[in-house]
Amino acid sequence: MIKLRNIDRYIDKRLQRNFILKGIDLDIAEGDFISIMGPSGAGKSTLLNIIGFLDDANEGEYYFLDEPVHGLNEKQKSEYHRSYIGFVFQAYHLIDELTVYENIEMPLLYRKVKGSQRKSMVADMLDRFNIVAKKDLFPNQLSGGQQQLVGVARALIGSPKLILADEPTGNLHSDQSKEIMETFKKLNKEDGVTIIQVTHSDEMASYGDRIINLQDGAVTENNPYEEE
Amino acid sequence: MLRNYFKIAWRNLVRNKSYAVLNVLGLSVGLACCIIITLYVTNELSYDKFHDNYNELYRVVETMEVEGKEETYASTFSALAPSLKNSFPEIENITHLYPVAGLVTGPNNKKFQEDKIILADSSFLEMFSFKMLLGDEKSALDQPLTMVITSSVATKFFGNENPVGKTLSFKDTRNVFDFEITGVVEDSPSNSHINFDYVISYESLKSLRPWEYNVKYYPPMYTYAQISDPNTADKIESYLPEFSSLYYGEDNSYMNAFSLQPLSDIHLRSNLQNELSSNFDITYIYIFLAISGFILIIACINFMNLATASSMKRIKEVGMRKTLGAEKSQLIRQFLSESLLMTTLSLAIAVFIVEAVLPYFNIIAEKSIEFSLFSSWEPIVVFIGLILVVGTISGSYPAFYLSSFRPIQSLKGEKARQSFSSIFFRRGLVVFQFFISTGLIFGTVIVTQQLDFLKNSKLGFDKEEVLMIQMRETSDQINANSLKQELLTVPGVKSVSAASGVPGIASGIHGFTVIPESNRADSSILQTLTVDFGYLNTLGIDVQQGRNFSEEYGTDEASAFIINKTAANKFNWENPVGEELTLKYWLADQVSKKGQVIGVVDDFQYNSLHTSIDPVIIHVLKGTYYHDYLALKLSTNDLQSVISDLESKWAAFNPERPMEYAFLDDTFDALYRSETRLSNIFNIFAVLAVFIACLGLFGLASYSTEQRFKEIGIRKVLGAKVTDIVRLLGKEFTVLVFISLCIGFPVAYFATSKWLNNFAERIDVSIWLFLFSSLTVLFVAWATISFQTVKAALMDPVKSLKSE
Repeated sequence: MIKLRNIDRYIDKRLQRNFILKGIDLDIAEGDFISIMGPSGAGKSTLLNIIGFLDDANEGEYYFLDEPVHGLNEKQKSEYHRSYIGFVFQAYHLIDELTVYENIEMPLLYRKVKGSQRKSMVADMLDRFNIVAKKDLFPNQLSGGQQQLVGVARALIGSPKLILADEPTGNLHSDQSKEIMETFKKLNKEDGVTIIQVTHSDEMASYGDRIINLQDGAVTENNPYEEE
Repeated sequence: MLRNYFKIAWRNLVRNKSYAVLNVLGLSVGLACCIIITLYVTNELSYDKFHDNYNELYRVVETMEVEGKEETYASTFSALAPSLKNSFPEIENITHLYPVAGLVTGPNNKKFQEDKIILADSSFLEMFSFKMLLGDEKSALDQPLTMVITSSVATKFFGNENPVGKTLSFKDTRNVFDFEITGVVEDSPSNSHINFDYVISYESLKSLRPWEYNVKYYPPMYTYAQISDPNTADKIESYLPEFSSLYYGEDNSYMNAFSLQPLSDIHLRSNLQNELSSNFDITYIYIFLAISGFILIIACINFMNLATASSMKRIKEVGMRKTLGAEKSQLIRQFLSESLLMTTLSLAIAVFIVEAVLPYFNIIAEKSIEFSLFSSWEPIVVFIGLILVVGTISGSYPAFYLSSFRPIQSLKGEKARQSFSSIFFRRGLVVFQFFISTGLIFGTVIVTQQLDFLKNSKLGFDKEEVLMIQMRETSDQINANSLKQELLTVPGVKSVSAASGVPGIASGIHGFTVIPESNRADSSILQTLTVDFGYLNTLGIDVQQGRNFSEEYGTDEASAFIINKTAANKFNWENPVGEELTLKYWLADQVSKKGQVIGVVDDFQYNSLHTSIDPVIIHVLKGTYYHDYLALKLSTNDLQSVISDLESKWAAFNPERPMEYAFLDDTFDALYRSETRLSNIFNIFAVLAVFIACLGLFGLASYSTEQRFKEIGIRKVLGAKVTDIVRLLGKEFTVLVFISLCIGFPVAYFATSKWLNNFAERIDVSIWLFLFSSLTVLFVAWATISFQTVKAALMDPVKSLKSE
C-alpha cells in the first residue's frame, strides 16, 4: 500500500542542511497496524505527515497504492484525503465553531454525500461511539477523551483505507487511551483498515502488529518484537 | 455546503462580537455614505432630463469679446428668436424665456410679490415637458395677456376652485395688466434649471413693455430651440458664426457670435454669465464620486485587515479542513461567502442608516432626495452588484491568504508566523487609509479656511448693520428722495442712500461705454454704479485719493466720477484725480455725461470673490429709475422696532407693495452659499472617512495587542512601566500614520491648490495648516490606539502569562 524509497526531508539553514528525515525506506501493506516510536525530534510526526500528504519530502520516492505521490497536484491530494485517508491528532483539532454532529459530518460535505445519506451515516457514527447525547454540544463542552472520540469518528466517517494517528492518546488518561486503542484494534481486525500511529508509550504501541523505531531521522529498528 | 459555510461564518461573527461589530459598523457606515453620495450625484445628473425630448433642446448662447476676454452669456435678447427661426427653418420650435418679477393680485385683493414669473412663447409648453394639469398645452399661451400658473399658485389664490378662465393682475415696474388664466401645470420639478410659478404668454410683452418687444441687444432673455435631428443641429451650429456676422453687420465690434448649448449641459457643464439659475459643476460630481470611492475603499480595507488579522484564529480550521479533503478553491469559496454574508448584513444596516439620515442630509444639501429601495429594479440590481463587488474585493485577500496555508503549518498549533509580504501588505493598507484620511482632513481645513477668508476679509466695505430696501416701481425710484427723508427720521437709522446696486447683489451694476478724454481710443465698456450722495459713507467705502461726492459743490451730479483703483490702472493713470471721462449710456447714445474724476476708492468686492475685481466707475444721479435699492446704515439694539418703523414709513409711501428688505451681510453670505453647502457636505464625509479609518485602526491595534499579550506580561514582570508599554505598542502605528502624512500632504496640497485657483482671491497654504492637520491626524490616531494600548499596559501580567 505504501512504499517509501530513500525519503529525505530537510531544512536549509544559512550554512548547513538540517535533516529531519534521511534515507527512509519503508513498506507498509494493507491491513497493517503500525506504531512509529522514537524520542522527541526523531521525525516521527514528519514521517506521518509525509505519508498523509500533509508535507512533502524533499527527495525520494513515495508510492501510495502504486501511485507516485510526488507527482500529484494539490487537487489530487485533496481527492486522496477525501477518499482514502483519515487523520486523528493529539490535539483533536475539532472545529470549535461546529457541534459534534457538524464536525463529524464535515468530511461528507467535501465528498458531496447527499443530505439524507449523510444523516444516517453520522447517526451511525454517533451510535457506534456512544455519543448520541452529545451531538449538539460544542467541542469545548466535552472532555478530552470525548473530543478524541469525536476526532476518531470524524476520521472514520469517510470509511478510509488508512488512518494516520499522531499521538492520539497523548493528551488522554489511561482509561480513555485504552478505549481509543481498542477502537483502532477493532477497526484494524474487523474492517481491515490500515493504521499508522505515532506514540511514545510502549503500552499503546503494543496494540499494533509492528513497531518502527526512528532515531535522528532514520529507521533504526524495524519491528523489534519479531526479533525477540 | 453553503449552509455549513454560513453557519461557521455566523458563529464566528457571534463569537468575535467586538470585531464583527467593528467590521460591520465600518462597512455599513461606508456603504451608507456611498449610497447617499450616489443619490446626491444621481439627483444632480438628472437635471432637465425629465423633458421627453431633452436631447432635442438647445439654448442659444452668445459669446462676445469684452476687453480682450471672451465671455459667453447664457442670455440673449428678444429679437433673436424670430430671426433665427426665419434663417433656419429646420428649427422646429423656438421660444423666448424672459424671467420677470412683479406684484400679482388675485381675488379678494390677495397680493404677492412674485419672482418666479417667466414670459414664454406658445411653443414653450410643447417643447418642455412640464406636466399640464388643466388647459391645452398647444394653445394656452397663444394669446396676449394670458398666463399658465402652477398648481401651488392655483391653490394659493383660488383654493380648490378651477382657476381656468379667471384673472390675475400683474404689475411690474409701472403698469397693471389683467391676465386670463388658460392653464395649470404641475410645479416645476426640483431638478429643473427652469423654475417658475407663472408663465405669461410672450405676446403680452407687447402690452407690458412694448419697447422690449423684439429688439436687438436688449433685454437679457433666454432663447431655447428644438431641433430633433442632431445632424441638423450640428449643421445649424456650423452656420451660426456666419449668421452672427450677417446679423450684426457693421455693428459687430464686440465679435458677438451665437452658438447652441445642449439643454442637458446646462446644469453641470455651464458656468456662463447671466445664468438663469445657479448651476452645479461637473467637477464637484467627480470629487464626490471620488470621496465615495475612497470611503468604500477605506471600509473594504478595514474589512480585509480585520479579517486577515483575525485569521490567525482560524488557521487551525483551515488546516483541518484541508486534511479532511477540502480543496483550496472550496476554502476560497467559503471565505468569500463569509465576506458576502458580512457585506449583505452591512448593506442592510446601511439602508437603515440612509433612511434615518437622508432627511438631515437633505437639509444640509438643500435637496429633496428620496430613497425607496423597492420602487424600481435599479436599486436592487445596484445593491446586488455592490454586495458582489464589495464582498469580493474585501473578501478576496483574506480568502487567498488563508486558503494558501499549508495544513501542516496551521495544524502545528503554533501561531503561524506571518510572512513579511503579508505584514507589508497590511501595513500598506493602513498607510493608504490614512493617506486618504490625511488628504481629506487637509482638504477640509483648506476649504473651510478659504470660505472664512472669502466671507470676512478684504471686502473693502462694511457689510455689518446695512439694510437694503428694494424699490421695484419706477415711480418709487424717481421719488426716492422724499422716502429717503422720511426714513432718516426713524431713530436708529444713521444714513440712507439710493443706488443702482449694493455689493453682494448680482444686478445693479451696468456696463456703459466709458471714454477717457486723454486717450479716446482707449474707450471700453466698464461697470458703472449709479448712486446718490452719501452712498460711499453708508457702505463704509474709503476714498483713497481726492474727495467723496458732495452736494456742496453743486456740480457733482452733472460732472463728477469716482473710480476704483483697478479702473485707474486700466487707464494707466498715476494720478487719476482731474482726468476727464465721458460716460455714454448703453441704450441711448445721446445720453452722456462728461466730467472729471474727483476721487479714487480702494477696490471693493462687488461680486463674489470668484470673479476678479473689474474697473468700476461710480457717478451720481438723483431720482432715477436706475436706483433699485436703498441702502440704510443702522445703529441700534432694537432691530425689530426699527424695521417696523421703516415698514410703516414705507406703507405710507407705497401702500400697494409690502417693503422688501434684506441685510447686506446675509446677502453677501448667500453668495457663498453653494460653497458653504458643498464644504459642509465635504466636511461630513471627510469626518466619516476618518472615523471609518479609525475603526480599522482600532481593530488592528486590538489585534496586535492581543497577539503580544504574553510579551506584554513578560515585560511587565521584568519591570516595564505602563508608559513603556504604551510607547512600545503605539510606535508601530505612529510610524505608519507618519508615513501616510508624508505621502498625503503633497497630494492634498496639489489638489487644493487647483481648487483655490478658481478664486480670484485666495489664501496661501501655510506651514501652520500642515502642522495643524498633521497634529489632528496624529492625535486622532493616537487616541484610537491608546484605548487599546493603555488597557493592555494596565492589565495584570499574571493573567496573560497564565492564559498561555
